[in-house]
Amino acid sequence: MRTDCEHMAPHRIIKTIRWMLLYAGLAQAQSLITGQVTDADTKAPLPGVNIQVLATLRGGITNVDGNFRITDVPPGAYTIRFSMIGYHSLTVSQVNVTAAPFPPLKVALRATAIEMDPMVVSAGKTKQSLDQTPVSLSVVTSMEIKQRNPTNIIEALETAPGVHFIGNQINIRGSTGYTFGAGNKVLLLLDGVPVYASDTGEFNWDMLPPLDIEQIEVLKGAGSTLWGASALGGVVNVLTKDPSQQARVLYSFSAGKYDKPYYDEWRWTDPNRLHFTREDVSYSRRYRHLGLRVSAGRLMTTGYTELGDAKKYNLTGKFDYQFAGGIKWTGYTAYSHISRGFFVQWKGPNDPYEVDPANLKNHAAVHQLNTYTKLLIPLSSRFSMNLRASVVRTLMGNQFGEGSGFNPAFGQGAEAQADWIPQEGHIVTGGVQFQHDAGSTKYFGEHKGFFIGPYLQDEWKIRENLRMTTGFRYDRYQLVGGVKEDLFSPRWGVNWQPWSTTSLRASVGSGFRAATIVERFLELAIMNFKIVANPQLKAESSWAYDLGFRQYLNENWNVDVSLFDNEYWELIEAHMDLIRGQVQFRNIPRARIRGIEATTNWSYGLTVKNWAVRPGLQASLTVMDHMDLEWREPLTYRPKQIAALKASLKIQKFSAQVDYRYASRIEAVKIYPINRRVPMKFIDLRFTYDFGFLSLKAGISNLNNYNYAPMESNLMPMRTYTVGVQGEL
Amino acid sequence: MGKKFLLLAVFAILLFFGCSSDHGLSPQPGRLVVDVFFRGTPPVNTQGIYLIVAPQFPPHAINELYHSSNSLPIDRDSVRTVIDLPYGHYDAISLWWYSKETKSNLADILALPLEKDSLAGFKPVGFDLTSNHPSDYIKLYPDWNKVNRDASLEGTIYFDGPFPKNTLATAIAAYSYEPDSNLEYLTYMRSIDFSINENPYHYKLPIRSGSVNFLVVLWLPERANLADFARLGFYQDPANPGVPAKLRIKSGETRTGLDIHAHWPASE
Repeated sequence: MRTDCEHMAPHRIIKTIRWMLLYAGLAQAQSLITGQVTDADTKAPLPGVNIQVLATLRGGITNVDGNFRITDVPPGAYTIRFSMIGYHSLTVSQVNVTAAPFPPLKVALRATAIEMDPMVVSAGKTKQSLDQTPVSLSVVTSMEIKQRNPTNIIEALETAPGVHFIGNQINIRGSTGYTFGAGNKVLLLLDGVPVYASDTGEFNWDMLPPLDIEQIEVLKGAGSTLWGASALGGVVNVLTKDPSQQARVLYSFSAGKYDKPYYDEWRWTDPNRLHFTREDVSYSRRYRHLGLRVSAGRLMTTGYTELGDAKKYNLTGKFDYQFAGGIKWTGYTAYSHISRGFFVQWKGPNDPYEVDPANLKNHAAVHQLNTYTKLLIPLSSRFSMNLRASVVRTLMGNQFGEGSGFNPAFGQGAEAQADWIPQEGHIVTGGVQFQHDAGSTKYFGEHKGFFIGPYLQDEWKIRENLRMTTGFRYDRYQLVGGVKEDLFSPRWGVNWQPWSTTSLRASVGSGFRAATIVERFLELAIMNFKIVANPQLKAESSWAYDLGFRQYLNENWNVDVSLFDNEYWELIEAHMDLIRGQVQFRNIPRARIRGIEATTNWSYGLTVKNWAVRPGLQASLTVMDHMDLEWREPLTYRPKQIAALKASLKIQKFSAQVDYRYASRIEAVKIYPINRRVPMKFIDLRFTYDFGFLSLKAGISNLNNYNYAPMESNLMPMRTYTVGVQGEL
Repeated sequence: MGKKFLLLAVFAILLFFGCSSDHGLSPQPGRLVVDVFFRGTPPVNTQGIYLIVAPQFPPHAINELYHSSNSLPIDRDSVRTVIDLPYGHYDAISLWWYSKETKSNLADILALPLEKDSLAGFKPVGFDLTSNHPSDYIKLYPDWNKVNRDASLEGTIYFDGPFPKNTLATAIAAYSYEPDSNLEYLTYMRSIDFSINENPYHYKLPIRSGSVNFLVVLWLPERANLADFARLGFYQDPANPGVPAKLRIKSGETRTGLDIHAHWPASE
């Protein structure tokens, strides 16, 4: 039996809201912008170009013929921005939109090896050009991801400026250090929705296939004003691809073989048996108003160490439905299952690929389900609503050779966000976010906590070249049956473009993170180590100051420099009790990480004997000074310099890339400071040949067979040879 | 032209980086071979024994020691073990015993070979590893009886105020002789318990039967050296206040009423 409410389809409810707003005078007479986007060289139509009508909430995307239609735009003069991965963005000013039909726009984009000024959403929760953001932000585009052919998100991110991984833990400008897999100071978002495990606060980097990623944005410094808890030292926002206009199958297969260890005495098995394979397939298409993208992936590896074996499976589905009036529903589900050995530490420095025989039973299994649903309701060209709800369910088990003592950790989130243009030049973003986390195991009991936080931000375009952002957020954190904490996170930023080639930015913002359930309550003995609970842990907070400029030396070359100062209070770090041999998470009352970061991007297009040749170069250097201000000593597990150099050369259908990744020697560690430590120096080579709808790939990672341990007793992979094929049908 | 240029570029890169001699971490070049000859039988609460090599003795902290990655076998009369080490000087070598209920790692040094030093009394036997002398050899004679605790001491510790904020650890320790130097705090130690965390604190210290001539409450501030103990108070002879009591403990005995009044350092 159906009720009256069931008869009321969503579009009818939305229609009712729209009528209410119309009566309230918010809606206006609307017009239509149409046009076509083509490749400047080949004149071929370009599908998938992003179009943004600046200073409005309107935008669109080109279809298979390169055509676009943007509806409900009030008459007026607009600036429209066209952007697409692999092409220089183009901004068209003074487009006069009238109530009467006017000629379609004709736009041509020029190809580039490196996108200089992509559109981003992580800086302000609305689409912005990177050059106009008040904060430091790096972008990894799908073109780069395709070139790198990574097996997971870590490999896609490892050359991003200021980003460094210690094990599986991401550091943005030294934010996290290494917390033994419990509590990350960077917030990971999937399409703007938090996706951390509710008990550990950690990420599952294997939860989605690299094929599905459209863009990864790395926001540096505190970002809690907009993104809430955990955005203490930065935000990584992984944006997934939308369903394509026409039926599309993407296929990727890669296989790798680990070389023998550089030193013969480190051999522990027949090196010929150490290999991995990864397969991903994705299908996408749109049926009128319904779009879908489903993908499946599998990674099988022997690993390069004892207990390095893993089997990883993932299944994802993204669906959207376009209602009348631009209303869009999006649903996303990702399931991943990982079964792997659990390598905690090597047997000894002369047996770095082996584990103690007593630990050979250590295996782990993780099942994770991420799902979110979003509803975008553009009530007018000046007002839109975004409603989001999400669930993250993580089940770990079978660690350390014991029976499963874990129950699923559950995180449920909901958010309502409104974007409003109250008058010319202002975009106001406000909303309220709720997050509930629960976890229970025999190692820490059963615990629950929740956040609720309203936020408000105004982006004010004072002049065409001057923008100021002001915002704040208030959060109440409540550990059920435990502590209650109130956190206030203000933010201010400015972006000034005195000339078309120069962009100056300054920002100050704050961030916070409450201790995870694991950091507070875990009691566990792993081999010689005991982890001891600390229920009294306070939330950590930060203030981030950032001052930067970006200069275009010409349209193919830019330089970006920023000075940053991140001040931390009650920083949560693993503390080693050197008498009892115990690890406990404790607060460091005051800490500071400050430094300078410089990046440059250069690409050039030329023709040599009718061959299109595109060399490119991306280089970044981050120099940091980090300190525990109480003891005046360096923070642990953080290098002082990080650098990445990426050189590429594309000739017709062939391309070659060389990456050099460097991190200075980590100055301080917790467990074995006596062990020798060296800087990180990795060189990776990759070659690609585009063959019709296929791309053939070959590569060598760690060309020099360099032996590096980011944390004690854990060696990174030796030289690895990979081959792969990517196809698009 | 383009192909040639590309090939040349790739070749130059490979040559430059591929021929680099820097390969990061490398195997430890030195080696210490140790033959261990046990006396007695291991206590049933033995979790394991580990070979520990100290570049400096007393060490600043326990994580500044090299140690075997796993326990030596405890079900044999003798065992040969090898530990790989970097070249350098080492002040001491020892065997540490871990009980299944161990709360500290300091307590139970099963073997620590000592030699007579004309200036400092006894000092641990050290060794050097160099490119000319990459390997060394030593014999250890651990006595299981040392950790086979068949008696205990019991009492209450009364502190004269709250624990200082910079407390790393507070312990009750029993000695055969009253230690006279930092080194002796470790070498003469018979048993120690680092569990003290409240005032007053009731302790029960397991110990091997025999003489205890100094029962003391020790305190370590954060970042202190491992042997930089501060004495907070000791068990006094009831008949002769101010003088350490000399105790003779029989096998199976639990001696009670050994109360101690402890005084925090004045600067704290």
